[in-house]
Amino acid sequence: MPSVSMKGISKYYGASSILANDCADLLVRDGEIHAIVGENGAGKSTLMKILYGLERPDSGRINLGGREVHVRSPAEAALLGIGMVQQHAEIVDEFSAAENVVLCAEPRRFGFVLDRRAARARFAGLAADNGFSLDPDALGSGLSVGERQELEILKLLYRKAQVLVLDEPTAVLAEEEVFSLFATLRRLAASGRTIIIITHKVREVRAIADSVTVMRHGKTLSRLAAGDVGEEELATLMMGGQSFAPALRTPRRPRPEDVSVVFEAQDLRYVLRGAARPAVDGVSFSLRRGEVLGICALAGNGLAELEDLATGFRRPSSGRVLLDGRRLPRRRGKAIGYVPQDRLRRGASLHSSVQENLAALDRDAFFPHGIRSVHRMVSFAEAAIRGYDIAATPEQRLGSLSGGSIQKVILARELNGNADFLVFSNPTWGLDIASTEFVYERILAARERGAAILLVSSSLDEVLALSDRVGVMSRGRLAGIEENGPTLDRAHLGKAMLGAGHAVDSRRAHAGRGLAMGRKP
Amino acid sequence: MKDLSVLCGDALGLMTPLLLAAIGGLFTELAGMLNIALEGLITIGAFAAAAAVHAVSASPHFPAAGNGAAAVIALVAGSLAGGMVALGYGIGSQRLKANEFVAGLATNLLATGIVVALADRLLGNKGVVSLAIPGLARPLERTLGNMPFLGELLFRQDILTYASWFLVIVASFVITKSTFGLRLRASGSNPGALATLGRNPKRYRLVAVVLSGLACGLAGAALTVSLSAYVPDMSAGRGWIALVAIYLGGKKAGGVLAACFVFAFAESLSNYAQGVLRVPSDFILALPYAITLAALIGGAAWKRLRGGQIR
Repeated sequence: MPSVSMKGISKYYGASSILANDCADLLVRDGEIHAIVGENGAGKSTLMKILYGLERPDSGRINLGGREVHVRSPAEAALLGIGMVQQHAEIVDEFSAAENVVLCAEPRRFGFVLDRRAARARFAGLAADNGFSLDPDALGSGLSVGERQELEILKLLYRKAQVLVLDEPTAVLAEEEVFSLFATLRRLAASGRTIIIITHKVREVRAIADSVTVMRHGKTLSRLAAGDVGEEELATLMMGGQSFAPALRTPRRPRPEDVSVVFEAQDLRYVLRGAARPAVDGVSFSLRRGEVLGICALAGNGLAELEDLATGFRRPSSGRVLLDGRRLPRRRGKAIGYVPQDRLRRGASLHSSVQENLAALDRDAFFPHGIRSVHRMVSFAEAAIRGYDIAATPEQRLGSLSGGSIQKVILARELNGNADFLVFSNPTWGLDIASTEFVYERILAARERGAAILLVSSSLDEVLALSDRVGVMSRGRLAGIEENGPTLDRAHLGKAMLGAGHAVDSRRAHAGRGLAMGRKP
Repeated sequence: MKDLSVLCGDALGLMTPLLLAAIGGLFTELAGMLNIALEGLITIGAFAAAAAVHAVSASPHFPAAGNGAAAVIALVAGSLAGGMVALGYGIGSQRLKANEFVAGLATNLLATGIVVALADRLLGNKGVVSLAIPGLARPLERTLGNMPFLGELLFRQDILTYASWFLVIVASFVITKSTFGLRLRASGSNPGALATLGRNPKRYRLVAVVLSGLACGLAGAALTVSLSAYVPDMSAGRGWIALVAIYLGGKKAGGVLAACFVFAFAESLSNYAQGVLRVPSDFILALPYAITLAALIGGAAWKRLRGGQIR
């Protein structure tokens, strides 16, 4: 019943003079998992926002179950049974999972008292019916990214959504969580719901979708059966003619051991106040000039804390962090180039202009004698915009840029100082193929000029693509670092990430099998 | 022992206006606003109460002047005036998108200025005006007031004080148990969550602002009633202290009650000390504020020791 058809949808943003959707068509049959793929800015999100009532189209028609509908607001979409999971889960941290789900449609007693018992019961029933293992009493703040997403899906199911739209749901998930999400989506489709998933990862299309629509420059190009189309073909369609081959990167050829050590972590321990076990537990490694050390871990295993310790954002509870044999400087300045995972808050100031963001690190260069030199800022910004191919002007507010462009601004700033030590944390999260490719090139170029690079990432693919040596973290411990190369056992690394030898819960163990069998879930 | 029960009993009486303001402010705080207008709203309430009683006593047709009805009129007028000014502040900051902080500051400055101007016109005097308001009823005094210790501590309070305690219970219930409370807290903690569910978080904020106005107006009126007089700058920083009490109380009704008692006890102590200690009165009068400062620093240190993040 809930099939979705959109015909001739156009949407023009006057303010930025962008034609986001250009006569786009979409057909999704009921009970189907449909993927919409395209590069950043291809108009996928706009099309789905129109379906969900967040945007009004300039022209076009929407049919739901064969009946024409007008969706003027998300509230109307909800009444029609359309629900959307945004990229960032809107969870109230202070509320329990059950409270989050029933919010604004609460079971009540006496008309105004929240019936917590009924809320828990409804939550438990919904979770059991759809194979979720969330605890109704878990606080929002304690949930992982994947669990927050599950909670968003439960919110929609609670509101009886029959059409579920997910906007790049895997962009923020660790590998293991992606498997779990896909399993959930398959169950939901099997129970008769229609699912639309936005993504720019071609591999995921084959893994999850029944059919796929490719978008480019606001247009829908083709509707294909997912089984009939190869990854490379899809990528080519998305990119527009250019052939695309997934980059194969050769690890650094072995270098003599007498190259100087730039960065050293000595028996690092970090205990969060009030935590039962340390977030980082006895981690030691050293990093030499001209090499990339990649460390991979699932969320919640200490990777974020390690990133903070290596860059001086947190001080270790015990152990030492040495840069060129000395303690980290109080202000990282130009000594450490750092591209943080939280690029929107830690890596950039969204309210400032592109040129201000670019100038933020180097006081001597842009503030001679303590006075801002607008000339130097503008000329540096212009050079960076050219050199990094950033779609922006120097005066533009950073927050108005796309995710890929923001990351390029951060890269331009951090790589400018030619720091000997660079830290990249999940540097390609949410970026499209072209931007990802660009980031990888820059990281490898920095290695070529002799920088020591620490890459922390929750994507094993990324770590394996770039690193000379690879380590994985589980429960705060760093499993032995190995040389990267064709002989490296991927399944073994996957197991280590899941904490083999520790008690692991069944869900993790299940995902681990999927990983060990190598990506085909 | 006797001294302590008197001291604490006085503190409970003095706590009433502070508690009312803090409970009102708790709603805006949970809705995610830094409501710095509490002080101005108390000022408005105190003045409106005085103006209403003054107008009523001047009228020969109104027999209520001088009896218990005067107090009721004062409390209702103060509360409504606070609520109305708060509505203006809320519309300015939530609907017209004025900066919340600037709008709050404007409310405070406007309250101070307008009250002086209106006092001259309506009360005929810019200074202290005494009013014909008899003391509020003390319903338990006759029956239980002579109990040892507890009598002085608990049972000689006026009816408004008991009402304020009841309001704490009601507020606590609304915040933690009602669907309105759930949504109110969501509007403060993650407005985006409400927005994606099709609710406007600003609407909940507006309701919270009006509630805070009603409560602060009542607090101001309570000051006027308890003195049977209007004194310029009557609020004397209670709105700010209420704001501190909200934070120290961990944004929970019970905690706010405890924090308010600490401040009221300081005030009670300074009243007591003025008569006993040979210290310049300026120092003693500064005591409640000094204790506020100490409590703030101590509270922050305590939270840090316990590992909690200070927000």
